[in-house]
Amino acid sequence: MRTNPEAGLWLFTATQNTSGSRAVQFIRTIPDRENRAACAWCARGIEWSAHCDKPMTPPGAHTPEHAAMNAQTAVRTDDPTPPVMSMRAVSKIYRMGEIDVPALRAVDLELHAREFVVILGASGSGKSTLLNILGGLETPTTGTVRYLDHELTAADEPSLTRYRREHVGFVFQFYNLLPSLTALENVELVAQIAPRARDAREVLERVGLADRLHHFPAQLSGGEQQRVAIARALAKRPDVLLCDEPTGSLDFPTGRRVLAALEQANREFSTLTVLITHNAAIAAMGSRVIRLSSGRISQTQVNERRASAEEISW
Amino acid sequence: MRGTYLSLVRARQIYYTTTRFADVFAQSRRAPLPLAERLRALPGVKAVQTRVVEDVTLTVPGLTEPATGRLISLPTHPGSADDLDRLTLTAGRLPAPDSDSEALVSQTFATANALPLGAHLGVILNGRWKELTVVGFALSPEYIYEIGPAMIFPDNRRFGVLWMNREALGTAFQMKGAFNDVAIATATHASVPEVLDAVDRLLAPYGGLSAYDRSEQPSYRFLSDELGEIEVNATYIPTIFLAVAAFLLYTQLARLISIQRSQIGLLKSFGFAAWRIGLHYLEFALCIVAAGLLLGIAAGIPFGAALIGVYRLYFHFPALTFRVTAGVLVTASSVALSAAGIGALSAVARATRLAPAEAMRPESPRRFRPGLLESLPWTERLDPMSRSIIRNLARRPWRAALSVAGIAMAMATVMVGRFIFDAVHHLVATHFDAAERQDVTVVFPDVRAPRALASLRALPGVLSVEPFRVMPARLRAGPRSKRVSILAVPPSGQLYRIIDVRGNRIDVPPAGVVLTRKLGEILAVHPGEMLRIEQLDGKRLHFSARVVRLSQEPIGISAYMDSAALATILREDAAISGARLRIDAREAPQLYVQLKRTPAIAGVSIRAATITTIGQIMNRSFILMTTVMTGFGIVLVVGMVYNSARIALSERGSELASLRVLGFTRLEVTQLLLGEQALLVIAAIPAGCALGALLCRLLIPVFDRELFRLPFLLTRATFAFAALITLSAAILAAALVAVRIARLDLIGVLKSRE
Ligand SMILES: Nc1ncnc2c1ncn2[C@@H]1O[C@H](COP(=O)(O)OP(=O)(O)OP(=O)(O)O)[C@@H](O)[C@H]1O
Ligand SMILES: [Mg+2]
Repeated sequence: MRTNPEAGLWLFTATQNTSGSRAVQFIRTIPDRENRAACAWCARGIEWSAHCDKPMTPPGAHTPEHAAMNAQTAVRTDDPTPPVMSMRAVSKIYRMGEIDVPALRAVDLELHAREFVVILGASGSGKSTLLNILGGLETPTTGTVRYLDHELTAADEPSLTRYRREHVGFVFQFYNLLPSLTALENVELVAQIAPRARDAREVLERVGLADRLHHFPAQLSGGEQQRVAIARALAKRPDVLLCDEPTGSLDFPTGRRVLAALEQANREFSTLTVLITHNAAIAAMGSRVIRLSSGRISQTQVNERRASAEEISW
Repeated sequence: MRGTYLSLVRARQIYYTTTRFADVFAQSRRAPLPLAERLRALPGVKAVQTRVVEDVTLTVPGLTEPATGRLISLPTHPGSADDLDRLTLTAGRLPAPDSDSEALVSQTFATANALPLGAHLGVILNGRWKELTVVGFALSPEYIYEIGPAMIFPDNRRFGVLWMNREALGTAFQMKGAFNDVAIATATHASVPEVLDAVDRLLAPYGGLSAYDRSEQPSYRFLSDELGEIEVNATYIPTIFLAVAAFLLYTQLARLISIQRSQIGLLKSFGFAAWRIGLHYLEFALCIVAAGLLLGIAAGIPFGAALIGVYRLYFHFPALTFRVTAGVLVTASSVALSAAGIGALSAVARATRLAPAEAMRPESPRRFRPGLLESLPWTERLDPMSRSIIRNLARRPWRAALSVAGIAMAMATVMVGRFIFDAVHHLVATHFDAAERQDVTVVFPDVRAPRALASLRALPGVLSVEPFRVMPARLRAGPRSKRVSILAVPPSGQLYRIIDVRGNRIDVPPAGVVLTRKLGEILAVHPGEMLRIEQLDGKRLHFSARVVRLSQEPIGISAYMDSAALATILREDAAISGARLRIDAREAPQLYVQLKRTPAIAGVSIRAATITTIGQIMNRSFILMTTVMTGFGIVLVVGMVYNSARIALSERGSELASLRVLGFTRLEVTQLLLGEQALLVIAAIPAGCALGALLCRLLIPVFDRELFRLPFLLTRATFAFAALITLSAAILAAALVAVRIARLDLIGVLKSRE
């Protein structure tokens, strides 16, 4: 049961049906003071009929169009559940003395379970800023960010740390492994602090590093280090895996192996993955591709068919 | 510190010169005044001042116990060439020329007893009770420290000097036309030993005690000892401090260079000579040091002045002001500069040795390899965090060792401070528990027959009485000689015990002497060897005695003999010069009243008062040292730990920031960084204990004086204290670093390669 303060109290019961897709029932219990619920697509308020207790608009959407969008999303992701993460009207403005540098402008975005979202954009378009906001490392200047029913924008530092610790996996461009620990120890270190960690050895085997467990970062190639970083992120069983240019400092074949590891993780662990790149070729891998330019989402594209890592080249 | 010491020495110098402090001193029983002319005529003698000096029992308002006063005659011709040891009048006026009841009182005695001008002091002058009026306060170079009869340490409440007209004293003590004390100034080129011999020959027929020079003048000797201690402190503390400071500078520079190594490489590839780059860093280091020096001088002068302020309370030099001489500044600066230079040079040497290409690459990625850690079985069970901590330390064993050494050094400093404090207290305690066990010591003006004891026994509250005979003597062993008192005690004595190292009683041998260990060293004699003894009072007999043992009392030096044995040698009938009393504390006030009224007593010293005074004096000498040492130690530990944690933070900040991004809490990340420091501190504690013990051991000979000897005594409390201080200082430093860890830039780390 989850509460959504803007929409009154709803009971979401998600059951796995025989066909493998999820059926979701929305059971409205008590409408809130203002008789409003939120649209599942855009989270804006839903109009209520004045004379009876039913919403005027289709359930869970504030306009018929959004109801259609909801349906489409359901088709796309096979998952009409509410988003794992959502951003609404998020702007980020860096203040550099007298000048304001807008990094993000009114971005709306939802991320659903099991998606593989590729965020594509030129350098300086705001990709990292977006990712850092999703990861609870930065707070937007305006707008709200939610993780499930938690409003990250209202959270304090310790709760954000807990959020990162329990729900987010990070993969950085520069791996950021602890040089003093072996591959296995690097993964164990993070697994230790997560409440539902996976077995470190097993995850490392999954990313193809079974024979590198006791190597120190300095004894591993860049690609191998990045795969250790991926294993480290996955070991905590994250709800969302955030990767900022994971192939940015790797050559093509090595980069491809890293992408394969990410793809495999998304497939086998069903982890919602957000991957940032300025490499358009990688976009083909995503279930959804979001293009960012000058801090705005300029285009959203749903890939009917996702290319596998092997098919990609740059 | 050095400046403080030099200022004190200078003040003493000025004081002694302007007041014409005498070079040779002698006492006699009663010498006719015309003898002064013959003394003056001796070769090498420049000026002679004869005096009448007598010790009497004083009744001081506000003091229940009797005090001892030393009455000294004022010069008959003040300001003349023969006026030596001139008084400085600090308040009031001189006694009226014909007055026999007005007196000057020493400033210290007046202050200690809060005597106002016009106060009355009760005194027994030659058997008659008399009231003296205080008309002025004065300071004398002979009594910078006022040490009374049978006292080793000054007790300003119970012993004071009074100056009266020559006439008055002459009448009271039958010294008209005579003197019993003489101060002599020698010519600059004169041989003091020859003068001493000549004076002795002249005074011998008049009951002269052997003459002595400044080094045996109690006040001078005491002051020299105390200045000696201050000098030790002034040298020792800054040395440790500078060594650690140089080390800190080295680590700071090394860190700077490791950050700037790519620039160094670039400059080198442009063809800059290594020495120019080295020079650049050296300049940089010197700039830091120069800034430090300015600050140091700016802070050091008030500090020195403050120290002098403290000492001014103790030393009554009119000219005691803090003056920074150019010499002190140059010494301080050059010592600081060279310490910094050594630190800087070694760091710079490392930088300039880098080949250009190598320097331009970031410092070789930290190569961690399976090492020692993996070979130890128990490491299997360690969590990754602990492993990281241990490996980081193991990777830079030298740096870790240096940090441990630095912290250990700081801890040792704290320990030394505490050790001295403890040792001094222990010393006073052992001396009075094991050796001097009397409640009250009574000294007669001269040697008495044993029946004097009976009257002491009859006094109220006296439980037991033990006589002693003090015989001034010169001990000779080969070329060495020393003027000391021979203390003759009864073999079964309970109130004064000769003690061994452990504080156990040594029986006084029926024949021969026991020497204080220190005295044995001064004379270079060992048990079994013979000693020449020259009696300096009475019959002035010369005799030989065998050194039987050495004793270990921590305060003062003496030679001990069996009282019967001494009496036999001197062919005296068990003469006594004083007695130790054990008393019933409840009757002490009545006893004191009686003692004040007893004309036959020259001095009374009271155990509790003596212990307090010694405690105070010891504290004065050492409190500054111990607090300064402890303070420095704390500053050093904080500095070392903070510095080393800051270096670790600057090197591993990005690691820590990425862990924070991965959801580690501040606390966990702080643990990771500070765990390393904690290990260093923990390793440093035993090292600090060992180093501290060593330093204390090295200090023992420094504090092996005639006046007192520090025992080498390290208790568990000493170690615990130092460890505790070190830990707290480390925690303080850790807290400072933790604040910085909390401010780590989490985003920055994602954007840049470490
Ligand atoms: N801490 C900051 N202070 C000021 N401006 C910033 C800061 N971080 C980012 N910016 C600005 O915000 C904009 C977006 O930055 P962001 O790092 O999100 O770009 P990006 O898309 O990740 O670029 P790249 O592909 O080069 O990593 C840029 O114009 C950048 O200059
Ligand atoms: Mg970026």
